Amino acid sequence: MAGRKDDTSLLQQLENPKTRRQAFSKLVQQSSEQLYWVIRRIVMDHDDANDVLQNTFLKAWNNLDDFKNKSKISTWVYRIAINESLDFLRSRNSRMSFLGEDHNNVANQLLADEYFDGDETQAVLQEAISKLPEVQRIVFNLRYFDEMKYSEMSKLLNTSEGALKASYHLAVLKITEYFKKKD
Amino acid sequence: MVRDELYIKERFGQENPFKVPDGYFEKFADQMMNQLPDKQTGTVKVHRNVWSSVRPALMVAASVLVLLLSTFVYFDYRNHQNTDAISSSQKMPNESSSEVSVDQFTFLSMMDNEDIYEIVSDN
Repeated sequence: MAGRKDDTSLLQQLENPKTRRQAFSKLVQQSSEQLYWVIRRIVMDHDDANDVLQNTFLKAWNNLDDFKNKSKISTWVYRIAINESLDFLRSRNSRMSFLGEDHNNVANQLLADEYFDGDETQAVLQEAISKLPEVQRIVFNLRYFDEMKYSEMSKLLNTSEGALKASYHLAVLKITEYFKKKD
Repeated sequence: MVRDELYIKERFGQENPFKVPDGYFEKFADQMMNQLPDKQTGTVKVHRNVWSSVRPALMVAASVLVLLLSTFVYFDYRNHQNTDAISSSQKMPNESSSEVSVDQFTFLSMMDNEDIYEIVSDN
């Protein structure tokens, strides 16, 4: 209930042109870290994640008048972040295809990345995740790493819980298969 | 599926292998706010002037009307030259020239190019 009160208060401040900027700053402070990690797990590179995060907040700021109050404002921004991440992935994939770049050396790239703290096993897991279709990738990350409930994910991604469970199940199977082949 | 999921969890864990530059989150909010454009203080509603929205259609309609009237005037003038003597004797009492003009205008507006060529070639 306190959460809802806070959300209402923040919304009121966002609606008021005099307090809008200050309220948006509060929103950025409250949600940027959580959003960053969701984005980072999707795009993997820190600089890319930083760009996508900035684009997310920029889009939210420019479209504040379109927020219809059908969900919490944080959910709305979260959704923008997911969509921006997807757009980024699609654009990167088509750029890589155009340039003939290899999709298969994700693990090596991560191990060479100064902002990757994992070992070879974790790099290979990330490589397996990178091979999943985009939406499955998001579902897997949210469920596996964030342990997000399907009910919450359903509101966020506007998809049925059944479809999300199926998506996660397929993702798990594909990752398991990937490692069995590697082994 | 549970077995496969357990396999992944046991082999790879659930730790976050990614990291960020020092102070990244502390600085992010201020940097972000500096990039945001100024929002307008109030919603600016553009009130469309009815005149400005119908003006193009009116201009087209006016052009067509001028063309038709010009055509009418031209053929009316030609017609009068050829049939002036006859028409003046056949004119009905109380018939105003404006009523005749409207009928001719309506007739002319329904003519196509072939009709016009025929009239011109007859003269």
